[in-house]
Amino acid sequence: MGTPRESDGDLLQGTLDMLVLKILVRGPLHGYAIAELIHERSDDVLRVEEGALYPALHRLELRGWLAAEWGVSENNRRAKFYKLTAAGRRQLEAECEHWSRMSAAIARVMRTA
Amino acid sequence: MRPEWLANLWLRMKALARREKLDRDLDDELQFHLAMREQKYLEAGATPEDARNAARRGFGNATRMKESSRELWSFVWLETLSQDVRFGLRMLRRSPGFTAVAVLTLALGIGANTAIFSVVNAALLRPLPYAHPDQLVRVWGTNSRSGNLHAWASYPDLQDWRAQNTVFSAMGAFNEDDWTWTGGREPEQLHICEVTEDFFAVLGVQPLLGRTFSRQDFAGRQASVVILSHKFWQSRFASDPGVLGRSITLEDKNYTIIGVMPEARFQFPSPATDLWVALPVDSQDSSRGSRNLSAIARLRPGVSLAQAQEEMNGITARLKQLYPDSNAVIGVRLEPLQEALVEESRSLLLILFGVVALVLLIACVNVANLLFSRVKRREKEIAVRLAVGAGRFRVVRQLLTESLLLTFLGGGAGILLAGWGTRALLLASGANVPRMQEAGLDGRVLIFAALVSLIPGVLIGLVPALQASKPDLVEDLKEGARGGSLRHLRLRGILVVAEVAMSMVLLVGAGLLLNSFWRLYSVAPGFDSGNVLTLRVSLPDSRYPDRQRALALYDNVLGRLRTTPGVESAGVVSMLPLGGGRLCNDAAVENRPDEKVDCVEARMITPDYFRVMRIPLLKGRWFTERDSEDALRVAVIDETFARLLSPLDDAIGKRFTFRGQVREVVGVVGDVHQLGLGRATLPEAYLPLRQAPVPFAAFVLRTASRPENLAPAAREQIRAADRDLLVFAVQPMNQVVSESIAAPKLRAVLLGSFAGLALFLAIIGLASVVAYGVTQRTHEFGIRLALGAGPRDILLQVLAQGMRLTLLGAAIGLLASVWLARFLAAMLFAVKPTDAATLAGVAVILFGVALCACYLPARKAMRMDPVIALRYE
Repeated sequence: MGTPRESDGDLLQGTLDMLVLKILVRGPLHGYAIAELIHERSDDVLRVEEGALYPALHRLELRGWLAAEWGVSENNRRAKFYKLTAAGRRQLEAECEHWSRMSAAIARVMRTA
Repeated sequence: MRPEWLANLWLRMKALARREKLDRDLDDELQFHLAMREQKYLEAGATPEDARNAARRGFGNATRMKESSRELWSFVWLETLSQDVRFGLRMLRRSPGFTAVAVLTLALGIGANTAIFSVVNAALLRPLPYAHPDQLVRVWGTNSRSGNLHAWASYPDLQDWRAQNTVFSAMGAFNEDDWTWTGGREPEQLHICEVTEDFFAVLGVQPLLGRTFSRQDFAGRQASVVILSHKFWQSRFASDPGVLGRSITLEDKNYTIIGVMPEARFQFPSPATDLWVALPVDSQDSSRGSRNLSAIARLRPGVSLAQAQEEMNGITARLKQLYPDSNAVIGVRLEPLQEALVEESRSLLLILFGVVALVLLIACVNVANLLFSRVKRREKEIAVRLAVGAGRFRVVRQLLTESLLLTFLGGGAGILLAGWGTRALLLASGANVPRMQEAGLDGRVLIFAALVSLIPGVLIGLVPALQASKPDLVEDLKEGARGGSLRHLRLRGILVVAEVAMSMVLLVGAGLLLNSFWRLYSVAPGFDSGNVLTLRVSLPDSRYPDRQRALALYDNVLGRLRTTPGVESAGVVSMLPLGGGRLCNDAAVENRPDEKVDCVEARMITPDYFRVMRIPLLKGRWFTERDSEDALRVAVIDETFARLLSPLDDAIGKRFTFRGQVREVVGVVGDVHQLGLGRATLPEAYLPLRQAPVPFAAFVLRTASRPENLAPAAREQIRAADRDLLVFAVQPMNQVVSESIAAPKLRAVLLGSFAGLALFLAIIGLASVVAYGVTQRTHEFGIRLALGAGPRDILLQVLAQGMRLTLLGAAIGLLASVWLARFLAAMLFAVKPTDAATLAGVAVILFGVALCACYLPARKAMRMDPVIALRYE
């Protein structure tokens, strides 16, 4: 049984998961929209590779943090929409908290060194 | 919360069920993403084609992406496995001939092994079904003069052994006998077991119903209680739980039923036992010299067999000093009960086990050989796979899956065959082999079957697979490369040599047993068994308390039989020759008080016995009706006894003391093999039945036509004389003779069929290798033919190739069998394990068959058209 391999060099797996969860707080989105939104929100800095995005989405779905259902996209195509579950919301909170602590710590180190 | 791996597993299991839908969804999702991207580029002003290309470029490797998503929800290894299995099944379906031959070959090998193993398992491996079976021992007597290691014990000896030992927690004894049961529709013969008080305590078994014997049951001279075996209870009392307290009539005496033993777990001493009765203390022969009991005992916890043996040695040494007359040569030998029960069948079973293992090996080599040529044909396919990047492991796994599929198919069929084979084996060997009836497919047998499928599956698959997966890629991709085939051919040659060698070993074994059986079969028994019908009777004491009544019955029946149409003559004998019984006493020679003839067989007969059996009179006269009770005590003796009695001169007129009476020799007849065709003739004294009546006898009738036809009429005549008399073992004398050699016949037939199977398999292997060699050398033969070689030369060349392999295999097999045949020595009669004629005969058969097998491919090579052959790639 192979473990999922991370092909994305720039975004660590945990970070991508957190971003996806965060983006979905506003409401259900399909995969393409998630990638685009992350791209936009990061002022075109973060580019999510599809090769990393979809395995991540499916992993989050399997863990029960996301729920997915098929719906119709803005241009009338069949698309798979992901939304946060209650467990996903809790996970997001935990990761946000963890992230703040980590980034603050890293910032402190960078400042003082 | 659930541990994550468990949740994962659950998700995957769920995903497994709707895998196709998940796959489709994944596809749709990615397609949607691509479409959205494309649209974005279009909106930015790209041409449709550029947009599509750009979208795809940016998207990366979609297949890889799908795979990594799919890995999330699937068991990858399971899928690969099912892929391999499906592919393997497809490959097997595509060549049904190969598959059928391989599966059948393996099924025969695995089936034979499983069948024999189920018997070995029941008889040798499975512990006795009693409490702490390792504590149970058989207590044999030994006789240092006769060398007998399986002697019985006398009652007084048993009492001393029991009283003086400290190593056994219990010691008991039993005695088997056949009794007549009356009260059913017909009198019937039952196999009973008389037991001493501690018998059931030693074995540690509890009855299913009622109780076992208590001390009171052994008081007095006459036992009156009986315990039923489960099968007897089932068949004659319809498993009636109210059977306790009822009474049954055995040997014209009444016995009260006090218990029923549980089934299967209790079949001691043999599966044939119908009843157990108490052996009353007072009825025991108190003479130490009268040895007729089989003793068993249970070791105290913690006492080893060696310690017990040592103590028993001490006890017998004391008895020797106390009773020099009766016990001077008597010792004791302890043997684990489990081993003692199967002692006789043990070596045969082990030999058979070795034999079927060889058959399986040959079957495996054969299938490996077939796989080689298949793999060889698929070398290009494999090379392509390797070239496009399949891992070597992946290729080996694929090929292994195929060979395992074959062996599991073969194993499945083999288990079916084994079930059938075990039943056939049970039938062929009769109910005589203790514990064999327990044979069947239990867990251990199934595990064994799985192992004998798995191990050969890996072995026969691995070698060709490993070889095929490291080919010279360049060579194999080139069409028509023949470079690797020489290496290939040599390996297959080695396999064939091994096959031939193993079947040679089996053939030699079978040949020896068949030869031995043939010699046994050809032994002249000393009488003419054709057209003789035999019927046995046993007269109960109660209705035949004295000799007058017994003689009157014999006379009555003989008179009736003589007048029965189709009967030429009729006689009575106390025990049929080759019938299994023996009665022997020492004979003292008159006027030579210190000379004794040991163990002279006694047979009580009516005058016509010799005529019916056509035993030739050599000197003197036969008995007549005048040799009656009041007349001179006389005897007719056989040649062997005559030589011992009077080595120098005529035995007629000599006197000897035998069974308490002085008798005069009036005639000498030819020797008869009384105990077995393979055993030496014994000194024998025939006594007139009138002068020594016995309560058991066999009627022998010489008939005008087939003796079987007369059986109902003869039976009816005995019934007319005494309606309640048990008539049993009604059979032609020919059958008595053939039953006496049934065991060696079974051995020869079993080994013969396995050896035949082995030869068949080996020859298939040989033929396929020679045929393969011909195909490989088609080009070469074409050149030779074109250069002027005659078809004959080609023929000889191909034959020579096959014969070289055969010769090598036969030579190796011959050496091995000379070494192995000694294990058969104990089963051979008048044949040495290195019997030259047998070895030569076997070699001739092997070479003859091998020559035929090589001839077909050789003829094909010979008839080759050189033009076509040269073009052959």
